[in-house]
Amino acid sequence: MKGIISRIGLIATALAFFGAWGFFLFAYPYHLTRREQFTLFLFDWESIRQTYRGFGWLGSFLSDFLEQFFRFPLAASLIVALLLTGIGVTVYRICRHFLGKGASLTVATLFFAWSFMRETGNLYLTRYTLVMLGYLLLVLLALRFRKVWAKALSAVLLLGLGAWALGSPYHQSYGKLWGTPRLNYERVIALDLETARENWDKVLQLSKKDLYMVEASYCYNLAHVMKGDLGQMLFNHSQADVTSFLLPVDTENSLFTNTLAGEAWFQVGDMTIAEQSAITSLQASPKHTGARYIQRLARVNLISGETAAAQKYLNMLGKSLFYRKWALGMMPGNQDEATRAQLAAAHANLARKDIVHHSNYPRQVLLNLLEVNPDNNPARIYLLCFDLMNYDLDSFMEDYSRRMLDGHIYKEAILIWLSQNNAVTEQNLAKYGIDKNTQDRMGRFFRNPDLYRSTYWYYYMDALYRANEQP
Amino acid sequence: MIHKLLKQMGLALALCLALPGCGNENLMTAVDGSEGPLVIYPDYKEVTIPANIAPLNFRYSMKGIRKARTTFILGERAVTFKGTEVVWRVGAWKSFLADAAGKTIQVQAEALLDGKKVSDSWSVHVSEDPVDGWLTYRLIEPSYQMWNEVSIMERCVENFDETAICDYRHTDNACMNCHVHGQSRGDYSLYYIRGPHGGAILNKDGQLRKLTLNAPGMLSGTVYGDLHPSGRFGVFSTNIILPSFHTVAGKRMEVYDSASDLTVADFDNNVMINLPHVARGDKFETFPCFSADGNSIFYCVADSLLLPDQVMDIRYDLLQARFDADSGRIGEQVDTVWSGSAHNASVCHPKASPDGRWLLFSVADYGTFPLFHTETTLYLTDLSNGETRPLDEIKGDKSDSYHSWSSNSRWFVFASKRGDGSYGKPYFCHLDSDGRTTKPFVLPQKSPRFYIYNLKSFNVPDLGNASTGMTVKDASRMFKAPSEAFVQAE
Repeated sequence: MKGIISRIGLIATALAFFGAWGFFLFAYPYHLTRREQFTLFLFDWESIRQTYRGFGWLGSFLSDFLEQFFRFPLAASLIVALLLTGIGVTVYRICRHFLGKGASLTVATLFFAWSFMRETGNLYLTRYTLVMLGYLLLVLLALRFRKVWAKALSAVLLLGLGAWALGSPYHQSYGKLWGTPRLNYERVIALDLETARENWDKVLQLSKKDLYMVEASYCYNLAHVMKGDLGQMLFNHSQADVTSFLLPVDTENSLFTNTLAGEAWFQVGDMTIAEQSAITSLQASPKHTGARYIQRLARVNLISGETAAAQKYLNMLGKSLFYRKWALGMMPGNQDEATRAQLAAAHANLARKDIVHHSNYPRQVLLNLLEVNPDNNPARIYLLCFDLMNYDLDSFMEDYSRRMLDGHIYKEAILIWLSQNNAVTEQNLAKYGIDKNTQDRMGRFFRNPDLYRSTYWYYYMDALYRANEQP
Repeated sequence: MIHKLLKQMGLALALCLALPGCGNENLMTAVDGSEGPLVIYPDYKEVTIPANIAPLNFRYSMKGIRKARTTFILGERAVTFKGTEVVWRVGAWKSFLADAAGKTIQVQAEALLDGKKVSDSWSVHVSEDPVDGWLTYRLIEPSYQMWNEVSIMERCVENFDETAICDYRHTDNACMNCHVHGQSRGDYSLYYIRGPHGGAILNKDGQLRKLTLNAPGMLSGTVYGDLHPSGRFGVFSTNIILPSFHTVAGKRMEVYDSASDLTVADFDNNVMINLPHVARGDKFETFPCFSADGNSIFYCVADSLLLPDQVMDIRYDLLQARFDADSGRIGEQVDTVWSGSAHNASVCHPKASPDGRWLLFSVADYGTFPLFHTETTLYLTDLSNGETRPLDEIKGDKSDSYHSWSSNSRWFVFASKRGDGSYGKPYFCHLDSDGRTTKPFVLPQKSPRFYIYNLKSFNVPDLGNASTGMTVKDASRMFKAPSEAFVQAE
C-alpha cells in the first residue's frame, strides 16, 4: 500500500509539473510573457539597492530576477511549473509531519491546484507564488527540529525573518487569492504582444475571433495599415467606428488600452503620444517599470532627437541581461548604418508644425504629419479611412486626390461621391482608376446589398437608413 | 534549449550576487554631467553650497575611466577618495564642513582615461547662509493625466533621510497634490488628497484639519495657492484644467485652464470669500501668493481665449493687489508687476521671498503650465525698486519651473528637467543681497547613480525650516476623518 501511495505521489508530482508546464507553454503562453514586460531587472548593485529594500525585498528581488526570463515562453512555463510543483511537494512534506500519505497527498494536490489557479489570474505576479513557496519552506525547516518548543520558536523566528525578507504572499491587485484562466483574455494579451513585436501576420491571425472588441479591431486595422492594405480590408469585419483606428491615451482607459494606444501613434510618427502612452504604462504597471515601456521610451527619444533622455533609458537597458545588446547598438555613437537609417526615416516623419490637441480627433494630427512627409503611408491610410468612417466624403476626396492609393474601399467611396456630385464621367472614372467592373458591382450592390457587406457602399447605405429611421 | 536557459539563469544570478556591478560599466555616459577634462555627474563643479547640505556624492561618468583619485582640500585638511564614485559618509562630510562656512573647498582629481592620465580641479564654495533643512515633494511619473501609487515625501537635505508624509497605501491609491509650506514654516503647511474621501489637509502648529475648500458657485475645489502669515487665510485659484498634447516631438504636453478664478479661504470661520473682480468670465486668474507681510497678493492673469486653439497666444501678466488681512478681501485696485503680454511671454508661479525683497517667477513663451516648456526661465523682481531680470545664468537646457524659498531668502530651490528633459529634479541656488545667483546644484543623493535609475519626477519641491512632523499615519487618519465644510461668504 505504501509503495502504491509513493508511486502515486511520484506520478502526481510528474503530472503536476508537466500539466502546469504544458498549460502555460501551450494554452497560456502570452500570460507569462506579459509579466516580463512589467519587469526590468538591472545587473547593477545601486539599482538593486534602490529597488529592493524594505519588507519583502528578497521576494521582489528573486521574482524580478526570475521574471526577466519570462521573455521566453519555454523558460517562463518551466519556472512557474517548478515553483508550483515545489509548493505541492513542500506542502506534502509539511503535512507528512501530521498526516498520513494519502491525506497529505490530497492536501498537497489541493494546495497545488489553488496556487495554479492564482497563477492564472490577470495581472498576477509570480512573486506571490515564490513568496508562498518561501514561507512553506521556512515552515518545513522549522519542523525539522525535534522538540516542540524548538519547532515553535524556530517557526516564529523563521516566519518573522520571512516576513521581513519575503513580504506578503497576498496583494489586492497582483497577488489575489484566486484566479481563473481566461482564454479570450489570453488572445487579447497575445494581440498586444504581437502588435508590439510588429508581427503583423500573427496579429491578423490572432485578432479574428475578437474583432467585436475595440482593441482587437484596432490591432487588426493597425496590421492592415502596416501591410498597406486597409483600403482593401477595412470592412472585412464590422468596424465599430473611428475609435478603433487611433486610440486616445486617456485616464478612462485601462493600462492595457493605453499601452496599446501608443503602438499606432508610434507607427504614424506621433512621438508625443507614443511617449505618453509608454509613461502612463510605466505608471500603471505593477512595479512602475517594464522593459517594453523603457525600450519604447528609448526609441521615441532617439527618433525625436532627445539624446539625453534616450541615453537615460539606454543606460538602464544596457544593464539588463536581454536588452543589453540592443541598447548598446542603439546608443548614439555605437549605431550601425542600418539603425541610423531607420532612425533617420522615422525622424523624417516627425511633425514640424505644432498643434495642441487631445488625441481624440486625429484628423488634424494626421494631416500635419503628411505635410512633413507625404510618403508616410500609415498616416495616409489612417487619414483616408478616418474620413470614410466619418462619412466625410468631401474631406476624403480632398485627401485622396493628394495621393491615390489602391483599395476597393476607396474606389467605392469615390463612386458615391461622384454620383452625389453628378460627376460620373468617363474622364473622372479614368482619373480615379475606377474600372467597369467596379461600376457594375455598384449596380449589383443596389439589387442585393447583403451580398456586399464588405463594401463601403454597404457601410454608407446603412448609415443613411439609420439616419432616415431617426425621428 | 532548457539546459542553456538554466545555465544562463544560474550564471546571471551568480554574477549578480558576486559582482559590485556586473553590467557593462562602459555603457554609462554622461547625461548632463559637468564640463572639464573629467566629467562628473551630478555636476558639482564650481557650485556654491550651504554648509548644512548633505554630502555631494558624484561619479565620473565618462567611458573608459579608471583609477580615479579625488582629493578634497579645505585649509589644512584633505580627504581623498579612490575610485570612480565619490561617496561620503554623512558624519565625515559634516566634520569636513564643520567650520567651512565662507570658505572654498578645492577638489583635485586625476584618473586614467582610455589609459592616459587626466587631471582636473575645481572648487566648491561653502556659503555662510544655511538652507532650510527640509524639502517636500511629490514623487510621480511625468504624466499629467494619470496617477498611480503616488507619495508626498519629506527629505532632510542635511542628510539622506526621506520619509513619506502621505502615500497611496494609506489613502486608497487616491491622487494627492503637492505640499506647500506657509512662509517656509515646517509647522504651517497644506496639501491635498483628491477623490471622494479627499480634502485639503491643513497643518497649523502641528494640528491637522481636513477641509473642503469648495463652495457653491466656485469653478472647482482649490488648486494652486499660498498661506497667509497670520495663519487665518489661504489664497487659492480654482481651475478647470485640461491636459493636451503637442504634435512637435519633444514639446510633449500642454496643460491649460479653460477657466480659472481666485478665492480666499478663511480657516478660522470656514468661509470661502469669492469676489467677482478676481473671478471674471473674460479673464483667467491663477497662481496667487501672498507678499511676505501678507498685505498684498501677487497673481497671474490672462485674457480668456478659445482653447486649445489659441493656447499659443495666451499670455499671463503678473499683478499685485492689496489684501485686507482683517476681512480676507482682495482689493480691486491692481498693479502690474511684470507684463507677460508686453514681453510676448507668460508668467507662472510667482513666489515672494520671506524677507519681502524678492519675487521669483517662471516665464514661458505662452500658457500656464511651463513644466514641459524648454524655454521656461526663472525671473527675479527686486520688490524694493521694481527691477526685473531673467536669471539666464542659471537656466538649464530644459524647463525650470516650480520654485520655493528658504526662510532666510538666501536660497531657493526649483524643479528643473535639465538633462533628460522628462524628470524634474530639485536644484538649489544661492542668491546674495545684490540678487546675484550662483550655479545651481541638484539635490544630493546617497548614491551618485540615483538619478540614472530614477523614473519619477520631484514635483513641486518646497522648502521648510523644520520637519512638518506629519507621517503617513496622519494621512491615513485624515483620509478617514470627515472633512470640514466651507460656505460661501455673504
